[in-house]
Amino acid sequence: MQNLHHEGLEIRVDLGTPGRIGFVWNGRATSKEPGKVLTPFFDRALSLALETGSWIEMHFEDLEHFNSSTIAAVIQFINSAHSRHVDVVMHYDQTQKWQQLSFDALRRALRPFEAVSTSSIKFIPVPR
Amino acid sequence: MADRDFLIDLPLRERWQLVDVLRTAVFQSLAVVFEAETFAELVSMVVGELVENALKYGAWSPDAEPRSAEARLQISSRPNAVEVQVTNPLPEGASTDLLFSMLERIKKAASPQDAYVERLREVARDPNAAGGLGLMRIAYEANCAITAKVEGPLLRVRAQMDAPGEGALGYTHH
Repeated sequence: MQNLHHEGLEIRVDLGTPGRIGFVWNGRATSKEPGKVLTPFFDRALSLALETGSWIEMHFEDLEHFNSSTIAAVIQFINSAHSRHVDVVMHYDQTQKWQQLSFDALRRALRPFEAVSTSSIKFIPVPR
Repeated sequence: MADRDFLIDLPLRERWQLVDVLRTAVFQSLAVVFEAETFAELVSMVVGELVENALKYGAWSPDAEPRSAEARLQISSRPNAVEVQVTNPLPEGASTDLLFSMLERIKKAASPQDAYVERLREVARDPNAAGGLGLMRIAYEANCAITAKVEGPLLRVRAQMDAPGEGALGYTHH
């Protein structure tokens, strides 16, 4: 998989650890229709995760901002990962108020999805 | 907050790239006024979401009536609060049902977070349900009181949030 560059956003792909597919988000996710770029990117990630028996780890700590359209693409990806039984781990910066609020809500929103899936989603607040 | 009185009044243009420019400019301006980066960040997020909605759903064709010159972003101080107002022309015959139903849901929910979380679940299940997520987000993350009004061919959306108190300015460094 290649790194993704789209408008002010960069998602760096890290395949350095066997069994783990890492994505490191940087910059600002402000696209008008992020799903057009992110959905096929995440679909490739899920296919790769299934082929290699890997989990997906996302790092948002260095992300400066994301708009609600990007949040929609992220939660749809997580739902897809659940339905395909791929584990997901999300790291965020708990010292940034906007990240704390955003990921608190995402975590709450996903609770019912976790209850009906064999895969897991973990949110890890990173102290910085 | 007499020493924190301000008004930012800007025309809006249909250029998506300008949203991020505006958001950043508002963040920097309000970080100076309030010396509280966390609050400036919340206001700039509100600006970003409301201007994005205006660009997505407004009438921006050069032939549209009223002209897009009517589109404006205004951010102003209120007693112990800040108000963001975004005005944009509506396409002829456009429905504002979704907007008002989202505002109604926010009002009826036990908390803004409950309304936002419920909308996130809907969006997770149905990619076509993404509309309204930005409004729910600002109600929750910025604890905004949001109102909207259709005035002839114009839509005016206002979001008001409490300003940090004089003695409680949380200046944070990234």
